[in-house]
Amino acid sequence: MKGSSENHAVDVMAQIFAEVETHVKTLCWLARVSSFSNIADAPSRGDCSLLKRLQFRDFSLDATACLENICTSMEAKLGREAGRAKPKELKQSALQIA
Amino acid sequence: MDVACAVLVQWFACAKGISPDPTLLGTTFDLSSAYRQVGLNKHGRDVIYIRVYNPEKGCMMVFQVQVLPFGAIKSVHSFLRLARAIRWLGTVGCSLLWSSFFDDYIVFSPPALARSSELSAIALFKLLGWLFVEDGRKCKPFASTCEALGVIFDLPESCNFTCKVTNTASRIEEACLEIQRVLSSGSISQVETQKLRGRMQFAESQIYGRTGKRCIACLKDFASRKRSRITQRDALFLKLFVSLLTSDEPRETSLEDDTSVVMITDACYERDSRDLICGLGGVLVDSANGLKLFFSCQLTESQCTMLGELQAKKIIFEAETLCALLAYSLGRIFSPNECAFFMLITREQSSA
Repeated sequence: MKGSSENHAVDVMAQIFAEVETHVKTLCWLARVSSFSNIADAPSRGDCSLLKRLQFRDFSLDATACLENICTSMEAKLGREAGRAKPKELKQSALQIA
Repeated sequence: MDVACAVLVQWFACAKGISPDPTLLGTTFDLSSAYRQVGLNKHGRDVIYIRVYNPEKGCMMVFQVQVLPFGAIKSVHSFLRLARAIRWLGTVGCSLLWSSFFDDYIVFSPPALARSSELSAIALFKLLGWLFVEDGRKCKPFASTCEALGVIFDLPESCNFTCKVTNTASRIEEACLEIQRVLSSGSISQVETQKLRGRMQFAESQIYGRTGKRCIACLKDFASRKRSRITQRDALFLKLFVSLLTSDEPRETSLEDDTSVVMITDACYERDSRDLICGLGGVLVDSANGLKLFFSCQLTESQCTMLGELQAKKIIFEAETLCALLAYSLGRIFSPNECAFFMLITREQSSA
C-alpha cells in the first residue's frame, strides 16, 4: 500500500492505520481477496449463519463501539473536509494495492 | 540488510534445540576502491574515455579508462555479479555466515569460531586477488555490535535468539540536519529533494509502520519541480519524520514461532437497500491461541455522510478501507501477541 490517498476520508483512515502501526510496532501485511473467496462477505451483508455454525465467536458489539471511536477520531481529523470527497477525487485515489 | 537479517533468523532457527548458546559476533569487510579493482578488456577500453581540463597546458585532455568507471550504469551490474560470486564462494566453499551489499561484507560468527571465520574470509579475498581494508577506522575485529550499511547490528541479545537493528547516529544526524536546514530556508530545490528523499527512504526502512512513508510522500511535488516553497503541511510532515527518527526504537530480528493472526474483511454498500445500506464484516483467526472471531455491523447515516455519501455515487471504497482499519484496531486488541499479522481485504481495483 502506498499509505496515502487524494480522497480526504481514505487519507485520514490511512493516517490512523499508520498511527496504530507505529504505536504497536508492527508492520501489517495487506493483500486482496476476491469476494467469491471471502468468508467476510456474508457478515458484511448481515448473514452470520455460516460463521456461527463454524463456532466463531461474535464480537460485533465490540466492533460497533470501536467503529464509533474510529469515526469520532476521523471526524476530528477531517474537520470541515468531512463528507467532501467528490466522485472525481475517488477515481484519482492514489492509495492502491501494489 | 534483509538478507543479513534472514541469515540471522536462519542461524537462530538452526541453533534452536541443537545449540544451547546461539550467541553471535559480527564484523565487516570493505573492499578497497572496489570498482578500480576490476580491469576492462580491450573492447571495454576502446569505448570508455574521460576528458579532463589540464590547467598547466590550458587545454582539455583525453584519458582512456582502464577499470570499471564509477557512475556508469553498467558498472553496477558488472560489479554486483562479481560481489555476488564472492559471497557465493564464501557461503558455499567456506561456510561463512555472511551477506554483502556492493563492496561491504557483513560476517557473523559464534565467538569460538570468530578467528576462524575472519581468517577464512581474509584467505578467500586474498586467494581471489581482491584488496580489502586491512587497517584503520573501517577495519574492526569481531564484536557484539557491528556497524554496516548505515545501521548497527546489536548482537548482545543473540544468546536469546534476538538481534536489534537500528539506524546509526550519524545517519540520523545527517537526515535531521538536512531537514532542519530545509525548514529554516523555507524552500527546497529538485536536486536537494532527491538527495534528501534518498536519505529519508534509507532511514525509513528501519522505522516501524507506514508513517515514515507518508512523511516522505510530502516531497513528491518538489521532486517533480511542481513547487519549491515548503508549506505548513510539508513542515509538519518533515518535523514528524525527525521525531520518528530520533525516538525510533531498534527493530528486532528474532526467532518467533510460526503463528500468525489473519483478519479477513469485506464491506457492502447498496444505497437503495431498505435494510442494510452499508455493512462491514470481518473474521479473525489467531493460530497461536485458537481464537476464532467475527463481527458484522453497519454504518449509521451520519457515518455514511462523513465518508462522503452525499457527494459520491457510492462509498464502497471508503467503507472497505474503514473496515480494514476497524479490523486492524480490533485485531490488536484481541490478539496483541507478537506474531505475523496478515490482513486480507476485498477491494475494488481502483481504490485503497
